[in-house]
Amino acid sequence: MGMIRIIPLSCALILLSASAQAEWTLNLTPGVTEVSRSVYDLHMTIFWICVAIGCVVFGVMFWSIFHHRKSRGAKAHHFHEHTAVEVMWTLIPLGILVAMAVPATATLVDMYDPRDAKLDVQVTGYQWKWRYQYLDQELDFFSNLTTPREQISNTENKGEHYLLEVDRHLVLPTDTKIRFLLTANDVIHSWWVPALAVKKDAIPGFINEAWTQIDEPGLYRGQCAELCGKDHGFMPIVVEAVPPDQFEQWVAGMKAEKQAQQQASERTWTLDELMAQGEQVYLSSCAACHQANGAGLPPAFPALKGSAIAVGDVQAHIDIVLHGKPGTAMQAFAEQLSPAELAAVITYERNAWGNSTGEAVSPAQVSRVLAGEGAAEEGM
Amino acid sequence: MSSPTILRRWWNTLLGVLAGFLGVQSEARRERDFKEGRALHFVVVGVLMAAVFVIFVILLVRWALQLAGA
Repeated sequence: MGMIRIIPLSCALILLSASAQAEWTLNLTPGVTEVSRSVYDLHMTIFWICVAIGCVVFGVMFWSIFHHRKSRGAKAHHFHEHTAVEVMWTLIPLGILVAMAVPATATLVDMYDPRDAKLDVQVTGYQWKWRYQYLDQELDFFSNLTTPREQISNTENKGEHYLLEVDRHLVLPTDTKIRFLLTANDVIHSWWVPALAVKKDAIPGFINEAWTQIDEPGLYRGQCAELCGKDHGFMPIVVEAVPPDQFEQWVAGMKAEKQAQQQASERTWTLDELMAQGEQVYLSSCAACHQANGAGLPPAFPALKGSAIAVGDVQAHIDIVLHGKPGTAMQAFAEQLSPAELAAVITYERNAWGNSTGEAVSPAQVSRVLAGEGAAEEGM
Repeated sequence: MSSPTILRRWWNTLLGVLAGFLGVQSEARRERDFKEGRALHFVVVGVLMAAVFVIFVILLVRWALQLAGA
């Protein structure tokens, strides 16, 4: 008797725990754009057609099995062909497919029509981050994962937006047709934001087009959808849709920030300032491969702790950080970071984890290399 | 059994090819095709019908794009 009472109770508990995971859902999101809603409607229409076909087919099958069962003395009727039935079960599915193709084609044609876009954003996939360039606004930045390493290695509890949070959002105006130009710098990535119903491959050497027009302000999160290497799951996308006037303010703010960065690379930095800034840059841009403790993951990602480059010739160190190393996973960071950030991270690498060169690399030193003034004059 | 006219023979070949496109054919027609038909006729009509099908698909896509205003 006791057992019988426990069963409904445990069922109720299972249901309760299921409803506790409020965010958890099986179905596609209707999203926040006209295209995403029509994709959702299409998906539901086809889903219900499949349900209806399933009911009819399995209904007839189960009814036949039950009605013509052996215990009732049913005898199988042997015949070789029935042309009329065969033609019917070929033509009816054909008709259903054509009927489904009509709304599907309309949605696809709409998705592939980026004409009359008011804003162009180039999206470039990198291992493992996204770069956004607003072509008319002349804005250009990288968007890096901000989930703390401690959460990834399970030494801290995971946050609400675990692996779906970045330092710089892709800020977009609402009610504006936006065209995305997608490409990649190294391997094939895929830029996917479910709420916008945009999922497009980003392929090196190709430019793919996609577009969106967001109706509601909000934060929409997405991920890379093409396996692109070690940190494929660690390069999320965060779209921040804001009203157009707020977007203008944001653009102005970004331009001011760019100017501030310019000034930062012109002033003199102390070793402590460089170390503090350098640690932050290191954790967001370098630690994925070279690890937070500088030990790397040899042989693909060498250690920086005690490495010949990090404690050797400073010019060689600047050169490899700025220009990368062809044929290896080491990227060129010249475009990804500002001169001040580059100087800070190089300084950090030369003085952290027992690499005690005591040398401070100045932003001006980095700027000179960037401007092509060459390593020759600079010397040691 | 009188042999069918030339026109009749081509017509039967065409029906055989169309049945092949659909994937359904009655046993009686299949036997007749094998008895009366010529392999070369089936190849010629088959290639022609494939071309017609491709042209039909091209026109269908053009028409759909025109409807969408592209």
